[in-house]
Amino acid sequence: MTRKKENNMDKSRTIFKKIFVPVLAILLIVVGLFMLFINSYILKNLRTNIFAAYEEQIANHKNYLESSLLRKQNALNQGAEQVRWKIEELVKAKGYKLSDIRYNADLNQDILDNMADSIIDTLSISDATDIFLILDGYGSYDNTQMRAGIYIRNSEPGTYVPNYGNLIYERGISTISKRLKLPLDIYWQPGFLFEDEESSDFFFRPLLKAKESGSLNFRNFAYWTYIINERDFGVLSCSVPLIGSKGEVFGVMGIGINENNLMKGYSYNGLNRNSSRAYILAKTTDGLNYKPYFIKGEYYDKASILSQNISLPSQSENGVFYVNTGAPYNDEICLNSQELKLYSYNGPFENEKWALLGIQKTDELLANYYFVENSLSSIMLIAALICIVCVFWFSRFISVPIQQMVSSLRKSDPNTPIRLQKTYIDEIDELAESIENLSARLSKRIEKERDYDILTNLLSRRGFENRLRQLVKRQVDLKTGAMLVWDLDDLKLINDNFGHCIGDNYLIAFANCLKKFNCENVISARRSGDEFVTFIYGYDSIEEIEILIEEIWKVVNSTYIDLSGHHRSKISISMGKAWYPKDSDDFDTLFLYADSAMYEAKNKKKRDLRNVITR
Amino acid sequence: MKKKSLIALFLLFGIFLTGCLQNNIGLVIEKPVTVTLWHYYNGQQKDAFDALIDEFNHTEGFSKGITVKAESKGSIENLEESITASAEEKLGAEKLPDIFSTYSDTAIKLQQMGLLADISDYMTEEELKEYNPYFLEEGRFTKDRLFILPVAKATELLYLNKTDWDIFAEEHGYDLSVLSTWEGIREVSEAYHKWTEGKSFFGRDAAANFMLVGFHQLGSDIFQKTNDGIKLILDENILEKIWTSYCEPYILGYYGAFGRFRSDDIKTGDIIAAAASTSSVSYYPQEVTLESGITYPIEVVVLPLPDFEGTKKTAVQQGAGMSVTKSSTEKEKAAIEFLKWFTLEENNIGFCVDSGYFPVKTNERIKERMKEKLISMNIGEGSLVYENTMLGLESILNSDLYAPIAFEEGSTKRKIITEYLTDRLEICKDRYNETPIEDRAGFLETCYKEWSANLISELEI
Repeated sequence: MTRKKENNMDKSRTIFKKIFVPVLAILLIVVGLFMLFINSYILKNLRTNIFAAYEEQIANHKNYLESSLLRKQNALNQGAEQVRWKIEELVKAKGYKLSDIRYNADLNQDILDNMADSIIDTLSISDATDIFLILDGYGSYDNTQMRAGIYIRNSEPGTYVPNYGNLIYERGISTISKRLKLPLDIYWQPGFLFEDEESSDFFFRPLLKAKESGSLNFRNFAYWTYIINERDFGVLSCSVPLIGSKGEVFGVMGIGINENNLMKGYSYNGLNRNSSRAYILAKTTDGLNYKPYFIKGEYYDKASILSQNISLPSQSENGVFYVNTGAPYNDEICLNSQELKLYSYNGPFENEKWALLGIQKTDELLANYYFVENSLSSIMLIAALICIVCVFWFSRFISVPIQQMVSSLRKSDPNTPIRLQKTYIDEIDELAESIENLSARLSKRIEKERDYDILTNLLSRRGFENRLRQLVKRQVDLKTGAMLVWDLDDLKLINDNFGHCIGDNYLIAFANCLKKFNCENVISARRSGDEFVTFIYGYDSIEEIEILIEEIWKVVNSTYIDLSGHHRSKISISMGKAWYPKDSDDFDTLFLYADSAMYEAKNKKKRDLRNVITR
Repeated sequence: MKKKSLIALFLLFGIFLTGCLQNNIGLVIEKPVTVTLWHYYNGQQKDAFDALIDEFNHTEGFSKGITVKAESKGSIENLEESITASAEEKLGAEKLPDIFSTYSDTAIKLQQMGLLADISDYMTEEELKEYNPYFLEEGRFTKDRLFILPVAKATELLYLNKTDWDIFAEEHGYDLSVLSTWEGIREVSEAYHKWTEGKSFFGRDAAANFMLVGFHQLGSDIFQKTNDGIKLILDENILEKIWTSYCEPYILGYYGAFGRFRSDDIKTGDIIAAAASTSSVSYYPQEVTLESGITYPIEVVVLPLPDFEGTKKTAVQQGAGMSVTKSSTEKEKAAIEFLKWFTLEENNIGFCVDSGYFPVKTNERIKERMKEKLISMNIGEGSLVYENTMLGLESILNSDLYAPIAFEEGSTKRKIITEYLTDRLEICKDRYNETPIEDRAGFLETCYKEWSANLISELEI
């Protein structure tokens, strides 16, 4: 029995579960699908777009830088072209050969003095910050290690300043600076002292390569490198060898762009101190290992970034490499590398590539991505929670009134009409109303079946007693009353002879007689089988009641029943009565008296049909 | 009731979500303003100024949406030329910048053309009170209005290659006190010239100052304010004194100017003493490099600027202030914001220490603040920069401060004086050297007469 109940419980679910579980399941599926869509499409695309935009920005900067550097290189080439011819002519005019430059300091000073204006012109045309012309020969007889040359710096490139007001004389004999009224830099020297070839590669590399090659085309030996000056100021330089018409390599001319002017156009907004974005100009031979020389950006300390080489991992995401900055920052950064095409194909320095690297902290670059990801997850989570709460709440909204209804139904008295609380849900309220109506009808029927005799439709014994109790309860003034007990004669005889149906008609016929007198003051009932009882009350005297009883007898005596065929019969009945309150004011006692009187009358009737014994 | 609280709940949730969705990545500045600025700083000053502008653009400027774009015109002469050309809308001239460095002569010209904004419109009395009132005076062309805000000031001091001096002085029995007067300088220079067989001892940047300050110190300014306006009052005696103290020794080769600046001449060993602006301090070298490429280490020391014997200690106050051109209210406001930031004590002191200038908000504790700053930069007592700062500050605080009187033709007249104390003297020097030795004394006399007559006629207003 218990197991069966449990099985039923498994199969049948509460309304709450019926609503909550499937809706929740649908919701979770929808959320899951949506998250899948966001992750696999929106977020993935967003990430790709961020990287693409990042790469594009760096590529734009690279293109700008590349074209600006090539323009400067072009100006240098034109300047160098003129200078080398001028020097050759000057040397020739003075009766020397280009090879005399090597040991003739006087000749060299003369050459430089004559070339100073051309050099300054080239500096101004190239828009560079620095220009130099170095002869591969003595700068002074007193110091033969010093090479002759001039180096001029422009503190304000790109703007016109009259009287060389923006120029600073870094290297070269003072006769030139005095003549041109160029201010000397604090680190000024009359010539160039090179410690070794490596640290002075801007001079030696193009010079030696040109000497090795024997080619006359100096442009092929243009060499881009990094110079650090006495101010610890980095300069990106481009230098070309000066080659005479017979292939004599006698010097180097070059331009430089200092670190302040190198990436000047990069906006403040893009490179503000709150942003870790930085651009690095670095050299590489294999495209994987970079030696950084210049950095533009405010977040990272120049020295700490430039002091270490950068190695790229083999894997990248959309062209972006994840690299660690190393100490002291130890930031994970996104790096994109864009190579600058500064050298011609098959040139001697083709493998020494310069590249612009864009770097930015990964979490900063992807800040929008993370924001969207977190926001969407949070929104989805919050939305799911809200939905769960709502589904729970709505399920409860429906199930609780039903549960309450069930509970109040369980507790309700089956004998009385049920009253149920309104739920304000139409369907449930209609159901409740139906239950209430049903209960009301059922209650009436039960009352009828309990208090009325089904055959005669008179009160049953129980109904009669209830009515009497109600009279007492209601404290009705009964005044003078009478309890009448009736007993049909010969019912058994009629039943036996004419059938129970006729017997029933016999009973109904008498009951109808009594019913005719039913009113507020007359209560009649079928007490059992052939026994009826009537209580009359509210009269002022026994006489009045006697008149009424006489009326009843008249009706009874005038009533016939059909037996069978053409046979009719009068109703034969015996009656006993007792007076209230004269005989007793207790209904049970009164009934007993009346019942005894009836039996007495019945016995007497056997002797005299129409005789009633009165006590 | 339930319904209402439910609606309220949803509204609150909506607000919460809206709040969540507003991110704070990046600072959105409405209407950023770019302010252009022209100045004349060069070399070390330019580096210090550029660094400060960079600092402003990344901090205060960034938060207020102001970007300052500065451009150096190389020298005050070039700057004045460019400003005047722009103001007069000359062919090929650039648009006037929003801010420019200027002395009162140029600024007054622009103010009369109605091109300058009144700085006092954007600054409270309280703010202006912080500035040295003497410096502010320069920019008050009319009462209660201010057209130049002082940003950094300099004065002149004497710089000496003490290494070479010591050898010379020992041999001749001189001590440093002889260098405290112009008369002493002349005497020493003559001795040095002889001793070195023709080398100059002394040189001077801003040669016009010698005459302008000299006249002031000797009791009668060249240009004086009278009821009829500015008048040229050239006291012949003073002019002669100027001639004998500066022009004559220059022609005789005791004094000289070879490179662009006298610091260059000390570097190349052409002179060993220079009267120059405190702002040139960073250019004095630690070694002399001769034409031959030979170098030797030297120690450069700084001394007070010499005075004429028996005169009151006088210091020239120089260092241009900054004017703001009339434009939109936003631009003018942005320009003043920058100037206010630039002259904030900490920024101003930082720039001044880097560049040999002095702050414009002078108060009792300024000396201490500058000392602290110097020490924080590891610039200790005895170093050239430290002594330069202290001596310069002393000079500004305790001397009779001289600033040229402002008038429209002021800068033109100054140029004339400069020319008569430089190029004209060079011509005289060349002619003197070409003159046979026996005729040289007579030549000098003639030269003075010619020189003074021409000068007077050119300076006449």
